[in-house]
Amino acid sequence: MTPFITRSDEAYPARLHDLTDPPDQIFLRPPLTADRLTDLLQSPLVAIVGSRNASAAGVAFATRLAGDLAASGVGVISGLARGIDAGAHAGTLDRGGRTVAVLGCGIDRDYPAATVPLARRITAAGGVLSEYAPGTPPAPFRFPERNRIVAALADVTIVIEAAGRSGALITARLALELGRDVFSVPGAPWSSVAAGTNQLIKDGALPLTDAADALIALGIDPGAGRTDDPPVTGAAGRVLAALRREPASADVLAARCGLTAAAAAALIAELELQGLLVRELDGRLVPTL
Amino acid sequence: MLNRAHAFALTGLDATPVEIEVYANGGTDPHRACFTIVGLPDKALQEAKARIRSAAIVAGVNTASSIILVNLAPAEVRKEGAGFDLPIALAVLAGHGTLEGQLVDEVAAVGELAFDGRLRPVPGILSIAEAAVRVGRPVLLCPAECAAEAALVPGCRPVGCTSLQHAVRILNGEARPSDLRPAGAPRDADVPDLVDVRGQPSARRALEICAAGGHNLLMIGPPGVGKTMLAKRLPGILPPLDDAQALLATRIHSAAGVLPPGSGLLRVPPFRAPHHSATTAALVGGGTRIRPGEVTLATGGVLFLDELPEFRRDALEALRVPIEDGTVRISRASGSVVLPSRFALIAAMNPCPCGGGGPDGCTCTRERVIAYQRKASGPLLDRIDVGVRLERPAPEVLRVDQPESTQTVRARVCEARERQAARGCINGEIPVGELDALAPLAEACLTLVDQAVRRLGLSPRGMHRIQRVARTIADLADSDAIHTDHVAEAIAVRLGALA
Repeated sequence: MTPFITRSDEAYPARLHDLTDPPDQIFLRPPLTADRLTDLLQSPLVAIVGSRNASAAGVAFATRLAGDLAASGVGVISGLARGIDAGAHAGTLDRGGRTVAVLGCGIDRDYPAATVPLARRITAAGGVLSEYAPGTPPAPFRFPERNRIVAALADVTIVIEAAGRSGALITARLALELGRDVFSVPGAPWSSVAAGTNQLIKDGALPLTDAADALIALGIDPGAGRTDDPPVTGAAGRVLAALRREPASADVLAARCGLTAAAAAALIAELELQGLLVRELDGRLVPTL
Repeated sequence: MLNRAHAFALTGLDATPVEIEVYANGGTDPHRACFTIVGLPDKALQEAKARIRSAAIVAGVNTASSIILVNLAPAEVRKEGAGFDLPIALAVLAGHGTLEGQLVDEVAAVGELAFDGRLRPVPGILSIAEAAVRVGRPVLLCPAECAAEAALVPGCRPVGCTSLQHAVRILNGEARPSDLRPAGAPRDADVPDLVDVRGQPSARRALEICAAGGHNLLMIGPPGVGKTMLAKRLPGILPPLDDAQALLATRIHSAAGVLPPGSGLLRVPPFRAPHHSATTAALVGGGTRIRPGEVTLATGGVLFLDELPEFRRDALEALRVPIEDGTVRISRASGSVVLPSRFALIAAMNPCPCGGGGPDGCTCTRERVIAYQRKASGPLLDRIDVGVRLERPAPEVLRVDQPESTQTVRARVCEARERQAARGCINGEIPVGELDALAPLAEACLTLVDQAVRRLGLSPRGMHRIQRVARTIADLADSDAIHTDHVAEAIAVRLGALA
């Protein structure tokens, strides 16, 4: 029997009552219990949402942001989709934070397939919940429905990479309607994955470029959980600086920095292993911060 | 009267001696004439009758009323092809008194007859010549075009004949054999030079690493960026084949009938690029007459699979064992043979389903691209050590890129190979159990590998591949120890193969 809580239960999250159509019941994926859920959903809690087809750099930013927030004691809630959602959950777990995934299908379904290993980690360390009865298949209309729960449970919502018609924008609008702060990560005007986030800023969302922006809004001292990266010096530093000016392929990067292919490859691998750059699918290297 | 001739049946790469017994009786009554061949002949061999009758007329013998019985022994060995024409015809002519049967019995013979008596070349001469020497019949009558190839086998005394009459006159001591056409010089000039590949420094480096350590390479890039161009240059930077390898490669090409006449020993590593519609049998070998497949033809050289995702999945699956074992066993009703299959694999593919070659670049979603790359390289991905992404060369790369010549790169590769030879094993084939002895990693290097495993989710197999490639990179740098730079570059080229 899948454990669940109803609107009359004491453990029913109070914030859901803010919704015009709060879910009648919340199903919990074992080993999550009602008591544990109350702990998990404690403030401060932020929602991090964004494109499923995010760039590698976007996912890396989500991971890093979630990790920095987790280090300051902030919980992260998201929708367990691939892309930004998955990055946010993973970043929280990596830093030992609390994370909650709200599914758009039955609590017993493994969906989407790409995030099944991550879902196992969240199940073990955090919480997976859904308003849908076990066995409910995923369907397009359920994801916007699910988004209202994400928006309602969080103190603030952060959108990273959203195209013009992304589901993440629905979450942001719902959050605004609920009177919660919405942050949006700005992007270059010519980037298609930034169209939605930039529009949000024009519509009044707060721009966010690092964890401190959200922490201040939550009333937390941003200096407390901050970890500064060790400075990257020497050739690796020059490589990173060149990429911060403009992302490039390995060959272009080597040409710009005056390195041989072999030397450039070694530096790239070192930076990549330190999490300082990621590889987009087209082979371009992008710095994570 | 009964005469004997000696020929050879090809099975895979080996030739089996076949004794041909011919009973030929001049006869007088065309209505009682017959020509029968027994001893498991194939269709081509059955049709030898017409060719032999016609050629015999040109040689001055009319067999229209003859009774001719031909027995090919041993009876259970399948005999295939037109190579038996010449020995049977010689024995038939001996039966008609044109020449002494004893003369035919002393030599081995091979060759296909034309209706006008000319001799046509046949495949597998090298294997046949080796077998001829082995069974003590070093004198081999063969088509003139094949004589030079047969002469490559130590001890063989090929006799090049232009026609059936020519062969008869040679045996009768009335004519001299055709001159051996000199075997062609090694065809180094035919291999394109690496210096032509401008603006792709990483790809050239990846090619060099693969050549040096015998690693398998995957190239990912849109159409027209030079993937095929690069692959074709790998044979040039591989070390030339040594005597044993050259003889083996030549024998394989000869048996498959793809050796150009007069090409001599193959010294340049072979380059095989089967089309993506190739069947499993074409790739690994097979057919009723067991024919070496592409994996065997590529032995000592390069197997290039362009458009990897377009290959049939079963064909790719069938490649896994030949790649891992270095040999391929082909079993047919007629028996089973083990053929060599040691080659460097280069696979190439587009980055995404749309090809990414349009003016606006790729229009595929990230997930589709990942799914495409995973599915495409799935069956072979765990056999790939080095991956490289190619893109259209950017002007700023072209400005500074100075490609080295094939000769320069090959010199480095050969030095790296010598270092490996001293250790007893080429890096790509170091067994897992000996990795830590032959390619030990210092503490700092291990840390790097651990980081890669944790951050990038590498499997143990992937770890071993990094270790082998790092060994090769160190060898190319003429370094006994593997440094962190070497490991980092090995990780970088490994990552190039993954989505």
